[in-house]
Amino acid sequence: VVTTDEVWEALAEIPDPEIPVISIVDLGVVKHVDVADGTVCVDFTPTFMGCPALDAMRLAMEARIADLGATPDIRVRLDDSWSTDDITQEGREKLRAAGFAPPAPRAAGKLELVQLQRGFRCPYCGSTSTRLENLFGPTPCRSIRYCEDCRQPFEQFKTI
Amino acid sequence: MDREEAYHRMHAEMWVDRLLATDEGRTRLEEAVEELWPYALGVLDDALRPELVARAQEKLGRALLDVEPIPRGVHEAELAELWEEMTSVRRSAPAGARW
Repeated sequence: VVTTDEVWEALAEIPDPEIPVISIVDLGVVKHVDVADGTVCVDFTPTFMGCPALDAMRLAMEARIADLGATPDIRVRLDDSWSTDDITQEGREKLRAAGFAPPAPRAAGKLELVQLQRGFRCPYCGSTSTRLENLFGPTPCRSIRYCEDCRQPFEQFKTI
Repeated sequence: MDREEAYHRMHAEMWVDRLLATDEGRTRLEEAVEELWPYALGVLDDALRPELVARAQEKLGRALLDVEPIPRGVHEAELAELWEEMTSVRRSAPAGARW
């Protein structure tokens, strides 16, 4: 019989389809796991609207749960309850080690452009002389910044 | 979804700032605003229009003409075919491609 701990461990081995250095558990998208009568229910939340990785994540979870000998029942929560604040501390470290600046914590109030222009740390040299190059990087969840000191572009996970 | 939409608004602001930084950019931006303003108003409902007007006027530093919004149209049959074509690669590897 499969336990919820085994399911969590199996899900923790699934890499994020777009940023494979972190797992979908590190990303904080798996909200709830429930095991009953050979069926594993998983609640998970989309990150950004229209993120193409959603289907890939669902299929990967179904495959892992089937490997455990259980029937998967993956439920996508259709709300916007996921936030970059849900990324685990371990996940943030993995992002930084892979050259992604982790997202800043969510601030109270409306996000304004001026807050994003300056002050983010370069994951390569640690300088805070970085500027925003483009809000949309290779995926909707990442923006592109440029470090004025080591003269390298780098990607930042956007705060939502 | 205001959190995520905020990034789209800021992305537009960045482009407007870049265009306003040169004479040629400003001219071309003004021409585009002239042409597309009724459509931009048409994307939003009545409640949201005043904020767009206020933000655009502040950026451009001038009052915008009070034009009638042109509502969004409906997609015609051609879109289905185009959509099929444009999304076929992603659908060909639903669990993620391996290279």
